[in-house]
Amino acid sequence: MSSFLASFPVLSVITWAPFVGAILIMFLARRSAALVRGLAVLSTSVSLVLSIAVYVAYDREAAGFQFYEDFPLVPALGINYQLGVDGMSLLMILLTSIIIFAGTWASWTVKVRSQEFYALLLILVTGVYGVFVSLDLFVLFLFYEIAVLPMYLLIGIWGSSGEVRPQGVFGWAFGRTGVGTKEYAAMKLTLYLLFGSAFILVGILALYVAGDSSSFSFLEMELTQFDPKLQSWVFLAFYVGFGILAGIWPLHTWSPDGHASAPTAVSMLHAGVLMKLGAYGVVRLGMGLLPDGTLQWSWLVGTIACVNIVYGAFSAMAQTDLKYVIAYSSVSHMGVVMLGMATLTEVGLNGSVFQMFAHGIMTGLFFALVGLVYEKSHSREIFKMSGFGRMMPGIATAFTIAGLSSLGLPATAGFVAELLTFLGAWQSSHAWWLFPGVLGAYLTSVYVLRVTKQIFWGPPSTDPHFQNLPDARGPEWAALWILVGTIVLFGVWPSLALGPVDTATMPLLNRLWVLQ
Amino acid sequence: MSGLSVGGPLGLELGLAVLMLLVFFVGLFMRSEDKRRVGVLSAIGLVILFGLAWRAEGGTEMFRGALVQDELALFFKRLLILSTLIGVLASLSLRAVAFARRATEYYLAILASLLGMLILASARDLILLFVAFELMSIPLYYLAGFLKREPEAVEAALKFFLVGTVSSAVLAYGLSFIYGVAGTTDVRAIAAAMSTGHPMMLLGMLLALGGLGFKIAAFPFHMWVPDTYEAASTPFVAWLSVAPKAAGFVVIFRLYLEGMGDRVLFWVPAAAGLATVTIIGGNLMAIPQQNVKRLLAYSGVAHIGYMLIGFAAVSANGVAMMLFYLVAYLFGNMGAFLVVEAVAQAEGSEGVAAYRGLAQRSPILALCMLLFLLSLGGIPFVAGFWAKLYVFWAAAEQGLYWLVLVGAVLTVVALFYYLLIAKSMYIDAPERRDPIPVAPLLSFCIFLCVLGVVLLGLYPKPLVVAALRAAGPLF
Amino acid sequence: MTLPLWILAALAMGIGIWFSVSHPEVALAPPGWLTPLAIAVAVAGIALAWLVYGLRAISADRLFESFAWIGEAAVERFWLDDLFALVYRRVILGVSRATGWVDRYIVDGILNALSAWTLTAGDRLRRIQTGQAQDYLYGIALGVLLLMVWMRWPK
Repeated sequence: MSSFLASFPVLSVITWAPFVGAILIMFLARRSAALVRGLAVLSTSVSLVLSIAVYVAYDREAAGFQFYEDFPLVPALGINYQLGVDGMSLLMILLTSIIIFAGTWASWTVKVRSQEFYALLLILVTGVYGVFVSLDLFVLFLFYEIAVLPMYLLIGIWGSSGEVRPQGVFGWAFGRTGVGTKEYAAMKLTLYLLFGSAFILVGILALYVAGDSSSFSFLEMELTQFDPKLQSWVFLAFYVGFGILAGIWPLHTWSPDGHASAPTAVSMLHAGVLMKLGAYGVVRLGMGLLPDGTLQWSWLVGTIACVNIVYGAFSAMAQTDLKYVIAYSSVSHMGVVMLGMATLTEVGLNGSVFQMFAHGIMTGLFFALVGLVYEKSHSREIFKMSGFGRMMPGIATAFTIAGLSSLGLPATAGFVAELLTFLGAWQSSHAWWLFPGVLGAYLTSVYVLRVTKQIFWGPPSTDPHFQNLPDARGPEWAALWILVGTIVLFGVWPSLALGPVDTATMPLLNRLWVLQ
Repeated sequence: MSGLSVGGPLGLELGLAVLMLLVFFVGLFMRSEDKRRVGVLSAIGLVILFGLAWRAEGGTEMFRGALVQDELALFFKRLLILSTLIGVLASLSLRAVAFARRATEYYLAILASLLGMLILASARDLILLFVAFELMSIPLYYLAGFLKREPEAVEAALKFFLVGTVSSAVLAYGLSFIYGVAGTTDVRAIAAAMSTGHPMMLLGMLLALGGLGFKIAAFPFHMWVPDTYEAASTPFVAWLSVAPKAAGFVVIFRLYLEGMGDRVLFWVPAAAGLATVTIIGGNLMAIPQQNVKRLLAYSGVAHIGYMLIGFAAVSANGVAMMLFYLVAYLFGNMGAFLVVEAVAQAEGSEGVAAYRGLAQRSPILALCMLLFLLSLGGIPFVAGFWAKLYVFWAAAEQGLYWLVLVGAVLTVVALFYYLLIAKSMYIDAPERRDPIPVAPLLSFCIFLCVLGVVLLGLYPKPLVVAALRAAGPLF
Repeated sequence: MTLPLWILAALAMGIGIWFSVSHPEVALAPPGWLTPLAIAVAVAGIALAWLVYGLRAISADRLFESFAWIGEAAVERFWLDDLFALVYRRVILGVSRATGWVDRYIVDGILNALSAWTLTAGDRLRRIQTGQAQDYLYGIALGVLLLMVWMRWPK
């Protein structure tokens, strides 16, 4: 099969299939909602099938970047269209494919301007794929921008607004900026992420110039020894720039409002995949290219990660809106991801990448479920809903499984991720990081179980709005089954993911350990 | 005389002069009240000139080097003629009676200004420079106040004229100091004169920069821009936002960069400082604007700031990237103004509110505007992305990382107000559902600009190569 | 319902007896007195329970009174549940409420304030555009002056 896959530019097909789908949708599916969805499912299926094929065909013995493609874009400036995957990006591609495929099904009920919705969503996904497969930093940056901008329209048009009453010493600013509306959430998210990209850009340009201005190629830069002082500030630039996307504290506040206001598939994609782009960027560009910088700043990355874990968990506990709980839970779990990479241990970094995958699936499932619950009950107020388990057992079970993965119960993917990360923390040079991590896991179980019990497993609600609510129907099951299945599959068979991932993380860490 | 042939330095200018005479006489002897055919004649003439400009070859001189036709001059001339062509075509869609009755004067003025610009691109003599500068500027004052019955237009033209004349005076003052130290009006003597370190030389150069700063609309020399842009007719403003600025830049290149060698580094602080205040000022002042024309005016100021980042790199790469940026800016900015004209003709308003729900009324027009806004904002797949990245790259090559950071961060601010327009078009609900009717010529021009923006966005390489070649002669 | 209980009890006893009889792990062998003591305490407990609640030979109430405050504490389950509830409600939920508030109104508040200041800055800056031509000319003069100062400064 690998020879078949090697015979055509498979990574380009994976990346651009959604884009082609978007173009087709814009031009062909003017009137037919079914055609829109059909094209969307078709293009995401192509990417999904090929992602799985590439995943299976990846040669773990040979490791390194495979399925390589190279095409000169602007040779005078050293910009080339270079694609390739290693163990880490392989898992991320798989994650993206699963989430967008599920997301396409989860958006089945979008009625208003669904043509544009699906087109924008697919363009966004192309950007995400592109970042994961790019081996040229300029092209990576290009895809990053493509992944950010459609968010503005997606949230602004199809999102939901809420109401926030201003309080506190900065309350005067809340009215000025329109806090609470979907336009506010959309603008904040877009501008904040682009602000981060400014730092990434400066870092990329600095590396390009320092590397004798010959190319933006990651592979060539990997071989370059950059001056430690340069590495120091460029690592910081990458950490801040990508970290904003990863949701590091205190630069994470675009995330709760963004996720809560966004429509279901957009939240799934954003919390599930886009935030992982940020973490991936730190690992690939920060750790991969700047070993001295990494060693210098790993204490900061890990400490802030601990803050993320505990702070995110406490914040999640305080929320009364279901979507906000999950949004803050994402902030907390991204802390686990960042913690794993800061430990600079094999088991920690593996845990970090695994958590990117596990949390991605889990949060995708959560948002899909929240979307369903909202659609059926028209409420996101946790403490008004109760006893839904009787009326929608399927959704309730899926929600519980997602919750169990979130708190790290064995047999779920979340357990493997957290265990590895915590082991890595204990083995790292800052062993105290273990304690906030475990505290976070404990707090997660508190708020997850609380919410699950409140909404699903308690006595039935007496509110007339919440009677006779239907369970998931038809296409809605597709998203749930796929995601639940993935969580359980990777929970009982983690080497499925850890195998390829380890081939990528080991060389990366070897470069670091040599310097230590 | 070789200069009089098409390939020589004056070939295009002479062709333009012939066109002007033709336009003048046709307009004079035309009997109908509607003289717009004169505009059609101008357009056809410009198309021919544009073709000739591509056939012309560089590397010729006249008048002992006072006029030079190098790759840089050719690049600018092609850019200027293209810009004027689009402006003229768009002007033909204007419906006010004045544009029909007094079309001869209108198009003649545009062509006269273009003549000044073309000579400016080739000029290497201080006096020639100044005369061409005035030839470019004076018709612009007239054109700004063309709709003489509208008080705002007259007021804007008057302010434009006052500020412009003072700036020309400052420029002349500066040039006089330069002559005083250099001893000759040949621009090539500036390099040697600068190295003497004579303080009057620096004074002269800075005064000249101030005078030129007005033309390119850098902060704080830009103050005429919002009023003039808002009050004058939009197709003219579209052209005004590109061509004179380009002409200003070529003068700056000739005076400050050409033949300076390593001494060019002297200008980095001035360029960086000017770039910084222009980017910050332009972007911040655009935020509260409710009138799209005024918003685009301020955003145009900010874009000049970005181009100045390329200038601050004082290298062949820096200049080349500025040239790329100018072309991307040409398509993006003119396109945006033309959409403004289209919407204004249909809705009677230039406010952001007039664009509400445009995506649902005229999806193609909204998409065109979105592409222009994205190009101006520097988002991938359209020309402006490459333009911004290239100037940042050129500056980074020289180690100006702080400048790049300022530019990149302020891009976020710029996207805020561009996205507000996009929000109005895509997110807000429309007041009416019927599509916007757009004059065919205007559609054609908008389409040309979209083509430019998208093609450059997908395939920037040829222009990059051309720009690098054009920047070569300076260093 | 008791059948599963009988089965589980039989299994537990069976495995326990077999382990102690076959001594599988010598390294984990407890001190010699531990097993007989444990069995004796267990048997004594079973015997006491049978006497108090089965045969009713000893009065449960008199037993309860004789333990005085220990008995009352036992009724309150030694306040452990109350402690958990207190930590949960006051500490954990309290900290979470505070964190949630800080995140929305301080951390995000700072961000909103920054963006509001940028909006205001734009608003204020645009007022230099007074519309008076004289001011525009001052602008030029100021610009040239600033250029001169800026370029002369290092010297």
